[in-house]
Amino acid sequence: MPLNSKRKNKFIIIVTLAFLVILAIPTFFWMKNTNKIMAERRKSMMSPVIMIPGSSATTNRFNELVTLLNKDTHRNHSLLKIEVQTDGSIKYSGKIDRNDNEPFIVVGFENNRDGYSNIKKQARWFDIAFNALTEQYKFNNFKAFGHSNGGLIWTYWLEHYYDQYEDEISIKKLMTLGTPYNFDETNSKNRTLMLNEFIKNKKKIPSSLIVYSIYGGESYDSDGLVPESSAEAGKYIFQNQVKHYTAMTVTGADAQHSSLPQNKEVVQVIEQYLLNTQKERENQQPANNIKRFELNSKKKKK
Amino acid sequence: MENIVLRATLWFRKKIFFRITDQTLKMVMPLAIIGSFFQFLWRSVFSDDSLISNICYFDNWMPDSVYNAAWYACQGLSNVIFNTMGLFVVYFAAHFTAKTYHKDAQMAGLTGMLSLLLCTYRFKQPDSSNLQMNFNWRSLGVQSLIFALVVGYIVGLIFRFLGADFRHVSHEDSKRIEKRAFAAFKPLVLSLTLGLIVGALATIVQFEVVASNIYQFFQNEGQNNLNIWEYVPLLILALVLNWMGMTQPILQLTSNSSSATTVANLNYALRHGSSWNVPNKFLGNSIYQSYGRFGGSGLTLALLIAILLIYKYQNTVRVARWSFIPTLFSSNQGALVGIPIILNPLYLVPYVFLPVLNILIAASAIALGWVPTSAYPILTGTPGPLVAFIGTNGNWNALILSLLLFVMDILLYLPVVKIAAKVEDEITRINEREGREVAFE
Repeated sequence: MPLNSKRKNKFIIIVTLAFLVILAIPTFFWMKNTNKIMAERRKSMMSPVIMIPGSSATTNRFNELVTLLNKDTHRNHSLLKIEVQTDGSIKYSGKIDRNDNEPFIVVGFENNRDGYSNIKKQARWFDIAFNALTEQYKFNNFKAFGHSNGGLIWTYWLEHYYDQYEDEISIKKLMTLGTPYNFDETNSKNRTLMLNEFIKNKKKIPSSLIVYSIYGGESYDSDGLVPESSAEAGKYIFQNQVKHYTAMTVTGADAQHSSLPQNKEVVQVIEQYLLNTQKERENQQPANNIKRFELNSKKKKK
Repeated sequence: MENIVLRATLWFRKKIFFRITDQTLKMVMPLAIIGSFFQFLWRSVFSDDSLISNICYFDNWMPDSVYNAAWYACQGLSNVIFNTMGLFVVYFAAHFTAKTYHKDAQMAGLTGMLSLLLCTYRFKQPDSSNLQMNFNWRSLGVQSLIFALVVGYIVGLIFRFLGADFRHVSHEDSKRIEKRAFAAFKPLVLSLTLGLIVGALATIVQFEVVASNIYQFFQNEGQNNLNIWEYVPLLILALVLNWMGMTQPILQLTSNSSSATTVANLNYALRHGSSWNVPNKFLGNSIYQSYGRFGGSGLTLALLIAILLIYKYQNTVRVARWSFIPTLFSSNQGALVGIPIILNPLYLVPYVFLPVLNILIAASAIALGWVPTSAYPILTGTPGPLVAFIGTNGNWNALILSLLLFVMDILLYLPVVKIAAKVEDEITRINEREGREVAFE
């Protein structure tokens, strides 16, 4: 063997060893940091309720609902409001109290228009906000609430974005209120493109999720805006996919679409089903289902 | 001892099948090297869960479009090369077999490709509308090279017995070509018939379902078997199959996905701040990941270093150099095919038993309380000797143990590489004596 080749080989081996040592340094700090975050997340007792308002509504949409809930439960849930701008930047208002384990977080959008193409965009914007939330508050589970189109954004997000978080953060419950799963179609046989795509991708919705779909009955077949059959069409997405799917109709005073979030019965239902019960609060324990760490880069490939 | 090994290896290497295999793998070496390089870029650099992209914070400064384009390009190139590799292997296997017996090698190669396609065709899912054909791609790719080699060899043998004698010349007139074409009929028909029968039988017995059940079994054992003594025999079996050119069992047995047992370990470690007393201490898979695969299966990185240190045949050394970086990040296909390690009788024993030795030593160290179990997750493409360190959240004993094992592996590979050089010497001598041309060495 020629001498210079042997020298070259030794050079390669030495360079590799040096490279390994250099690589080990940032890896070491990366490892300590992620494992620390992972431990914090596992330990975290926070279980926020994340709310998305419907189209044309701002982040102030649920102010009254939160006031009612706080008054009723005698617990002071704090309220954080986030508005995602069209360029993807985030505006915060309100804050989460240090010792509040069940804060309300409302995520709204600068562009809050109706229509399937906007819902897809809003789901993307929501993901930006959610990502920021997961980094700032190391919760390992949360509950979701969506009014009207907010429920559609949740569904789209669950089917297209949730998988990148599910190893660290689990969604426990989803409650949609007057959500038009089939837009304003009155006949459930005429499925819109959106409903068809929701059904097509339903397998991506976690099977451990508990879903409540609530709609108003102002008349016998509508809440004044969303046809009952459209709100009911959620069953084609969630039934036989999630752990429990429960549909409820609220009638009487304030059963009109836009009044639903202030409806006394709805407030009761949220308290009873969506928020953690007294027992859950007492027995709350750190999660034991953290599967892996958070990546610096969220999965982009679909 | 050395003499026995030398003679046994030579005995195998003189067998026509092993000779054909050696020639074929050396021929497709460039494909494997390029493929593994792009596989390394794809999995270990431009991947969301790769070490490089995470410690370099690609997400913060690299434009998404550049990152995604690189991901798609590298992924596409390595997948196309590796998932079609069986076709090239069957071509050259049939080619070299026919050539050995002085038959029409090119027609044999072509016939081999067609036969392999027939063997793997999904007869039950024809798609008449848009000319798409369905194949069992698992059997066409690098995952089952043994299959392609055997098919190529058999087709070559068919040409040996049914084909006309043939000598390659530089200039062919049309008469000669016609003669060649007609002479190919008989072996072609027989090969295709056999391919058809194999393919039809595979469809009838639902070969794909059976295979995926077997793979499922391996995966399940790898994730849930808490008894290291049951894991080791399976690992040996999977490594032998891998050495034969069947990648799937070892991939399944040692898959990195999280299971109930690893999740329990991780959450215990997170709760207690260390992985010393996790509930599943002797999870074969996690010990293998940490101590049994420096540079991919069979501790390929240790072998490459041994080759670089003492081997004298320049071409092999060059292959070792070119496949070094991908292997460092565990993309070792280039080395497996290029050296070649696959179906190379000399490497069977160290390839299978050195990892097992490593695992047993590491398990003893865990049992004696010298090192903790690896429970923390690791990123794809973490260089082999660092895996245990990362998996234990930076335990120095684990790092020292893996470095010691790594040095031991290199030292144990050195005598094997020495014998490999002697085998080459001997083969060169035999070839010269028989006046036969040495193909590509």
